[in-house]
Amino acid sequence: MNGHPSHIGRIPQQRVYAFLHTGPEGLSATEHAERLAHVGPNSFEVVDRWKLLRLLARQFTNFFAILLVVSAAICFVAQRINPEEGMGVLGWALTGVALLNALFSFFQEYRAEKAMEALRKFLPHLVEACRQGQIVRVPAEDIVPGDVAILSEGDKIAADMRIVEAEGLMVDTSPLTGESAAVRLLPQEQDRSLEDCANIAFAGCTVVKGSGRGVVFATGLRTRFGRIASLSQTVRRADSPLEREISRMIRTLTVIACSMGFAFFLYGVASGKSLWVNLVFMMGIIVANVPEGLLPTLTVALVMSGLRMARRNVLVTSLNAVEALGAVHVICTDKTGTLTLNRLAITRLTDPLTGEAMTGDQERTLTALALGASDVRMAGEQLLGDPLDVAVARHWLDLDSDGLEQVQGAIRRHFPFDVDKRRSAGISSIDGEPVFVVKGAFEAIRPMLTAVGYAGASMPDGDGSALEAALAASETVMQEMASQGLRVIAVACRGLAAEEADAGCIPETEADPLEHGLVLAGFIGVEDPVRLEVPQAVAKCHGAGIEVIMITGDHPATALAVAAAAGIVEPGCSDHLTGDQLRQLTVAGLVEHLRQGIRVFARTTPEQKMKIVAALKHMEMVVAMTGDGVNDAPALKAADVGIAMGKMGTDVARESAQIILLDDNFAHIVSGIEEGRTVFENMKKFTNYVLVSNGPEILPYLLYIVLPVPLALNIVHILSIDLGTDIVPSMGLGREPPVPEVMNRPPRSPSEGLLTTRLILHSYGFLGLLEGLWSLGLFFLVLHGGGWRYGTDLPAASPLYRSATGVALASIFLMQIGNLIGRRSLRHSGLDRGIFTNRLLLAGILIQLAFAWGTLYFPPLQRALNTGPVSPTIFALACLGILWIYGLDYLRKRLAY
Amino acid sequence: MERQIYLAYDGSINADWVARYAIRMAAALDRRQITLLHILDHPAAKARMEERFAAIAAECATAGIDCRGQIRRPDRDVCSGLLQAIPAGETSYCLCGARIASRGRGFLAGTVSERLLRAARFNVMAIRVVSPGLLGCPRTLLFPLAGHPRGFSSAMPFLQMLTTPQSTVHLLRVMMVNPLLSRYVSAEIARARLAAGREYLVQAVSHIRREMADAPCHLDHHVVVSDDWAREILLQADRVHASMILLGATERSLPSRFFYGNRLEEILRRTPCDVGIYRRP
Repeated sequence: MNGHPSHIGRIPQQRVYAFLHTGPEGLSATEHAERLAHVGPNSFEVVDRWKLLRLLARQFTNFFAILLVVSAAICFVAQRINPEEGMGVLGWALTGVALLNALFSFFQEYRAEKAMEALRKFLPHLVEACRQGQIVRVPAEDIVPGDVAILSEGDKIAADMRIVEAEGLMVDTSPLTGESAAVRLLPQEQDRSLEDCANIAFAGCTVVKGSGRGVVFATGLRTRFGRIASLSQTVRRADSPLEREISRMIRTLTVIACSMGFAFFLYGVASGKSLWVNLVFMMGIIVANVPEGLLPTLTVALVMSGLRMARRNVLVTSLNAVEALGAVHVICTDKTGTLTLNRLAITRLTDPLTGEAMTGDQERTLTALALGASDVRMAGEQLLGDPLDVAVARHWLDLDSDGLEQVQGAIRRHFPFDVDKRRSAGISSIDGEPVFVVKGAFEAIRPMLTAVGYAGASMPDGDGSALEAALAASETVMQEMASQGLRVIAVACRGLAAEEADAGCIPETEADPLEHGLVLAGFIGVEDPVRLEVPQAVAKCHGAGIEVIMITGDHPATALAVAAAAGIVEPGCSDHLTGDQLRQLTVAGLVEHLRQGIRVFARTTPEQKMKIVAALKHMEMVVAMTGDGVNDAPALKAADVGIAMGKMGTDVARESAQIILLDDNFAHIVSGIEEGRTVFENMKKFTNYVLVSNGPEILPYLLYIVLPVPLALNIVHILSIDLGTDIVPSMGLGREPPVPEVMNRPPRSPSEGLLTTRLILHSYGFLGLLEGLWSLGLFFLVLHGGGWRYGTDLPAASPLYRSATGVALASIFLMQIGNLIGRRSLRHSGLDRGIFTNRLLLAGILIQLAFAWGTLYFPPLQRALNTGPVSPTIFALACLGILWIYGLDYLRKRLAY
Repeated sequence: MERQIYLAYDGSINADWVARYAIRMAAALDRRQITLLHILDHPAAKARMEERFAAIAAECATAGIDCRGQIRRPDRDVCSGLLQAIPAGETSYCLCGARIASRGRGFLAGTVSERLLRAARFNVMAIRVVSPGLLGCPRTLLFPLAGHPRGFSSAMPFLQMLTTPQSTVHLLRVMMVNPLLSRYVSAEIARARLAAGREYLVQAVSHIRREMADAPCHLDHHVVVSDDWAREILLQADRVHASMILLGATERSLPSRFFYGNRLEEILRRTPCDVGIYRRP
């Protein structure tokens, strides 16, 4: 590849115009028009007019919706056959539920589309461009590759461009990189990757200082920002484990319902019953088998959990994330602000040779030197700037509350923090003498050092071994500080000759020519304390079988110290991987390291998060990932649960995440996990609860089709249970608080479903059968007491039939109370948690009681349900059903556990 | 016979971007030469085209590549002109561009590039450039494999021309499941599918390492189970920060692919990086 540059940032400044087929005077009108027609407008939007309609239609294609629509259709057919039963109303009710469910999901997904709006805010409406030698303001959409754009302070950058002229040009790249410090852009070619080149201005960023000129090389979706936007917009998140689980559950229930219905339809036809009668019974069995209220209840349970999580500062933007959070095996977390308080404070200034703490004049001098390489502005009482620079200024104010302006006034030139070099620099005057100061990571400054010691120290000329020994001693000091969890900043300086100082103060000069012959003046130890609640939260995670992985850009020693303080690794542990090592590893190699217990990743970039997620998913783990920058957005989407930071995060990260941590506090992720696990447990409880009532709903139909007996429950009765009285108690179970042991168990296995064989057997084969037997027993008891004889017909309007069906229905309502209390605990009685601790559950019990009574004795309900009264003795027997169900179930628990 | 790069050049800015791929690939060959081919569909454009050729030749010169231009009058149409001008066979490599913007017609469907791919007379690579700033030098390649025995061997020449020792190639195998059943795939089945995919990729990696022993690059591999391979390719391209996706157009007849569903078009439309669709004769 002799002579062929590998990207636009490596082209010499003077050849940029030729490479992009343009000139310093800009494009001609013809050339611009031709390129615009060819390349298209500079916009991110992918116009798809049918997208929303498709999105809405998709909500009706899952079993979830199909089942509700089919149930509604059954009701409308029943209404057509027998208008007196009022099935049409229930059909509309089911249609409403189906519509509500679909619209709810639609708005969930529609929200993701809003991410585009957040992205659009980063782009300007008008830009200044040079066309045919004239500077004109043109709409940003008209910009094409080859256009020469003019950049001034405050401008938003409209397209990716190669800088060809710059005067103190500083750009805020935080929307793309998450880096808070502005980046200085220069026109010279650079030997770095395209993304890291400091001669490229990327679309979406903002000019914070200076001015410049750039030649556009990519527009619209071809910009770095546009590619992120396009992918975020078009790639749909894969189904969550809960969505898959619900689909599987609905499929199983549908198969059971349809095969049972069809089998009895065939039996009816074979036994000579009319087609219409058979059809009605087939529908009856299907409706009895379908838990119509279960799906809305699942949604409501997730909403309620989402609200509870919001109270704990965990905002849920996608309901399925509530449960997904409960299933996580590993949390990948940032350090700054999440595990720590993000309140940088200088706690130690150290002599680089002896490691002794500096005091008095030494401390003042070192702080003044560090200020010389800092950029802080005063806004009233507030200090603004990079958090580290602010910490240095604040430390100065602690030493000398009045002298800050004087020290700042002595700064003649500032070279901002360079992410790649990991250092900032400046030219300042100390005691009237010009001094060049560099502050940054020790590894970044070490190659430029020629002496170590208090400012002004020097090594004997040519004594390389003395310097090496001094540097080794300094490194030991630095390591020792880092191992205490301090972020260690090295400060080095050298005196400048007057002409050197003058040359260095020219705005466009770089620090590079001055960076030699430095004396290491000292180390500054900066502390960002670990949040108080974090160690306890991490311990809770470990107790719950959840791994915590820390990913940070900091020095490994600092990262390990913070990880040890947080409890992520044992104190003294040195196992970690750096970004450079990570780059060299394959995913399989990384998996090996993770299996060996690597929990700390230091000196990493946000892009490397993706690789860590891939490796963890390779290990079949459910991953939660935190992030705040735009470049974190893909990783947030790739993880099973994306968690954005509410305080420090960008809008794009927030829109891409399913969970927003309002106060950036790690401990609240753990609260969310507890809530997520509880939600899943509760879902299993109310699924079990709801399916139990299917037993007494199906049994009368089976009996009716094979024996010459009256039908104990009609379709309205079934729906009054499924969509009526079962809803509030189910919601009550969905609101059960976490049990203490929920965080003492390992995460659930991915193969553990909502609907297990055990649960089906318990619901249909045990409790369902018991409820059916009791309810039918009372039905026949009333019939028998009223003079009915086996094999004789009974008109639906007869008072005896109405009383018998009334007590059958009322007993199911009542027995569901016993079922409800039993479902509160898998192993215990359910009463041990106190009946008054869950008001919704109490409301559910009262509703069941009221409906049971009303079905038998309240005339409007009697008319609606076609039921009649029974004697108090029979009603008392129906009430005994509560004990029948609860008692036998409790006996089963005692025997089984 | 030495390998020779031909660039189907229409004079657009997109063709300039594709030209940089041609320069890059020619630099990897013993015969460092490119032939620019323009089929003149408008006589007035000749002077302008010569000017463009000169600009590309200047770029080639800095890379030490010999650049020759041919402007030909169309025989019947542009495609047949190109088919006549490029010698058929294994040693000819034709680079051409996908549409720069779909405008409702797709990026490849109905283009000269599609017809060249379908003709399968010589090696063809149709490129959609979305990162013009890379100047045709993708450092990270995503190479999805469908599991066909010829799958990676047919891509080897292109891989060798596009990679350097600094490059990283990510192999991707998407283990497909029926979209109607994807929600019901059990964890055990998914695990078995992943293991089968990994086994295939380990073999592919060792094969590629053998083939590229002279200029080894960093190789990594990934397997996913999915009902939508196009989506997985796009996601993976983003995850690994790929600068180019290399896609083969060999396993099924192109007309049926372009007609039914057209997943290649989906990838071309949504891609976060450059895409090269190749076919061997």
